[in-house]
Amino acid sequence: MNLLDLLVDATLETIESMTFMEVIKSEKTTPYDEHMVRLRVEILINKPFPGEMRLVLPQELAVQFTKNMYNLSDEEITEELVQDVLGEIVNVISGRLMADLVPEDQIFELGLPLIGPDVFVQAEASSLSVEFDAEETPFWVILFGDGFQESFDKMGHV
Amino acid sequence: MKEIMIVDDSATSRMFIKRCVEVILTDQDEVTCYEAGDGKEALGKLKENPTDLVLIDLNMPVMDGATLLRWLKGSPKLTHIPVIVITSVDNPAKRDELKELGAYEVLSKPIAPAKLMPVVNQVFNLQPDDFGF
Repeated sequence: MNLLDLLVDATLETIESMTFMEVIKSEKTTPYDEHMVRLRVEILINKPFPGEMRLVLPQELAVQFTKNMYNLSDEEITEELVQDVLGEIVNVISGRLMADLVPEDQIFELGLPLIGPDVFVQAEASSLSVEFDAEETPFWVILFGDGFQESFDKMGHV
Repeated sequence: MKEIMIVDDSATSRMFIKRCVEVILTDQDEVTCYEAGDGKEALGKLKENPTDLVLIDLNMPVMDGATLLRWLKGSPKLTHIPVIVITSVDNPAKRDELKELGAYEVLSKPIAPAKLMPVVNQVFNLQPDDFGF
């Protein structure tokens, strides 16, 4: 078990239970396609260490998540609803991960999710990026900050 | 008749919680769920109409869940209402802190009927046969 495993478990369990879609960790690396419309959802970790979790996904997948969760048709989906769904997904994934990384006697705090279009940036050195597939559509979950690995090491996960 | 207030800034989370409540209490006489997007809005609505149960998220703008919980437990008119906190920032330390503030129970997201059912059972003194599944 390592930090990547914890992130994968938190992501798979959250998205599958909320969207009723099969999700797997991808074994390939999809090159960045600048023509694909992608959304980015960010949430800050405020305590016990500063960090950030980011979900990057194609807009069409975000709409599919929303349709599944609300059982709605394309015409009924609004941008506001899609943003709300994505914010809640990232909120839950980050909460599940942090619960595994923070000692039981310590409190952790998250910020509120921020959602917008994705802009490609070269990943910083202290980041962990994982690619997933939801019905053959790739999406990514990325952690920024040293605190995640340091907390994992302190917890002594086996 | 049972009236339940669901407080969460995410419409998606409110929808999930409402579905769970409706599934759990499907065989009950009548269940009415009210919704609020933050603690301040919820407090205003609860002062007008105190419900039988309040389900609150912690991480909300305007007034967060912990502040709402303090207000509810500090109000003679509302202090009797059981409050279940449903949060993504759940761990034993947080749970202890919230129970000291007066939370009836603390549950982690994502919420599911099986997770919420035993707590609702206790709040309303329902027997397993009273549930719809």
